[in-house]
Amino acid sequence: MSATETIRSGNRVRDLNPATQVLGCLVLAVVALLFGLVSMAAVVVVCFVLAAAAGRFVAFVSTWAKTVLVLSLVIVALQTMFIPGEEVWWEWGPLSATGEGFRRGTLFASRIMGAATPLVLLVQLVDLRRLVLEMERRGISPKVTYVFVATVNIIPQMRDRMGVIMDAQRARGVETDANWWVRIKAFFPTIGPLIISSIVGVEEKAITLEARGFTATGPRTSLYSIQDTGVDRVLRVGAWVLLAVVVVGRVVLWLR
Amino acid sequence: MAAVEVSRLSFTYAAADAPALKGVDLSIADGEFCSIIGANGAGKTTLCSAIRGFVPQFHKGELTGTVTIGGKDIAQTSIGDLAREIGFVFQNPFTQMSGIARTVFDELAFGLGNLGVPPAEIRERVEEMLETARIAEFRDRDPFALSGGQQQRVALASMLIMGQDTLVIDEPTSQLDPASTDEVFALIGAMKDAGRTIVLVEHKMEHVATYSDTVVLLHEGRVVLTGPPSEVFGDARTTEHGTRLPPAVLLARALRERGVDLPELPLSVAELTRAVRELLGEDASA
Repeated sequence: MSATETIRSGNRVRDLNPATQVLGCLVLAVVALLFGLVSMAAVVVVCFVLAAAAGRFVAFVSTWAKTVLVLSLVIVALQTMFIPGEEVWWEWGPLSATGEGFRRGTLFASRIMGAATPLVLLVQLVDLRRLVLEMERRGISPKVTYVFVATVNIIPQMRDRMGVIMDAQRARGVETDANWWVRIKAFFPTIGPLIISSIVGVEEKAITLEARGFTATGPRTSLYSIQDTGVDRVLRVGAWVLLAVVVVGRVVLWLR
Repeated sequence: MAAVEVSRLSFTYAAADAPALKGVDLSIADGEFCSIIGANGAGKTTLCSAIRGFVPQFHKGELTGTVTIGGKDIAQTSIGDLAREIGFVFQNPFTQMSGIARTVFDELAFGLGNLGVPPAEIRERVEEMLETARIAEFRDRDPFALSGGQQQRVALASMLIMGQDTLVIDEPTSQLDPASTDEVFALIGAMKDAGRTIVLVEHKMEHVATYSDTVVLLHEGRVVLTGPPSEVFGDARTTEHGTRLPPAVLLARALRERGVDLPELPLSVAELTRAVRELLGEDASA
């Protein structure tokens, strides 16, 4: 085995260069934002197809339904109930569902859905290690990429620490599991230690990084590498062309 | 030439009223295992930070005196580049993980990559250290999914792999159970046997007595005693300054008070058992 290992998953979509994946998803989001419901629907369908091709269909649909779909439905419901209009469908106390509100909510939600769906897809496609390698290959400082990766990784670590603090507070008689009011009261005795321990942890983490030569001068090495193939380059050129076409097309449509 | 030379070192933390270190002089020879002991607040951790260069480059304050590592004044070297000269391990294993490595293997490789070690050599050194630290079974595990003792061994291995001649280790076992403590000390002992210079802060006195060549007693920022373990633990000032004695030394003292004539001060239970057996005329090697 070569000393430097190329990170591959064996899936053609997931093994595309992260720059290609990021650019492709951003262009899809822009396409969805610049045009109406039809382009949004097309972008969502493309994202579903790409997720299936990447072997991430179930995870993608699950995340998409819990986030983008729920958010979109809430937006439509709120706008329908609270935007006043002439076309009243029904009334319930101070609330009235209007046709104007529904149409505005649908348009707004479609934009959210169109922009957010490619981002959910991107999370499913991109391998964090590969993305960081590509960022560093493109000249981004290791300090920036460290903060990026550590920020992503810190969420489960803080969740674990929160569990430890909650156990400690329970041991001291602080009620943490009951109705919402009890949980709100327990919020401050748990969030305080979490923030303080995180601040202390940041200082110790900085010392760890210094001790491990993170700020040492001179070139770095890595055990891992990623590929940037001809297919990647063609896809990126295609994405830039598509972006230019949709932006120009949108401007032309506005001017007419 | 001494591996570590501390000369008239005084340090006051920014916003502190009193100095944490007051005129500390210390010379640690190449390959020596030097333990620093003392009550809480004696200045042990500050001295470790000063030897590693974190004081005053990371922890700000007023510093006078000098610290040299292998003859090099650390004030003239950035703390990043000092990672090539001197290793540093501290007590909290959780915060000593890089936070970006997915596996123990990658965690060990992280520091070497920062120093620009060629990938083939990184792989070779990581494989070797996984065996030396007896953590090969965790090689593909997430470092954060390990227990505290396992994490501390990974933290120690992540530092030892960098190959510095001098290691500063600040209370590495304070959060560990007895079995994990023994494993960590076995690893530190192996590094000493490999010729590394060790500066250790530790409260587990039996281990200090067993492993150290020299013990330094700090009290309120000053060096009170320096010498071999038998000398320091045999001196009444050690307990006067709030430091516990190894259990074997306490037992030996109690025996001497009752008229048992022990020729030398035993530093471990094994040494004491051997001495008592010899006095009783039994075969001490049995």
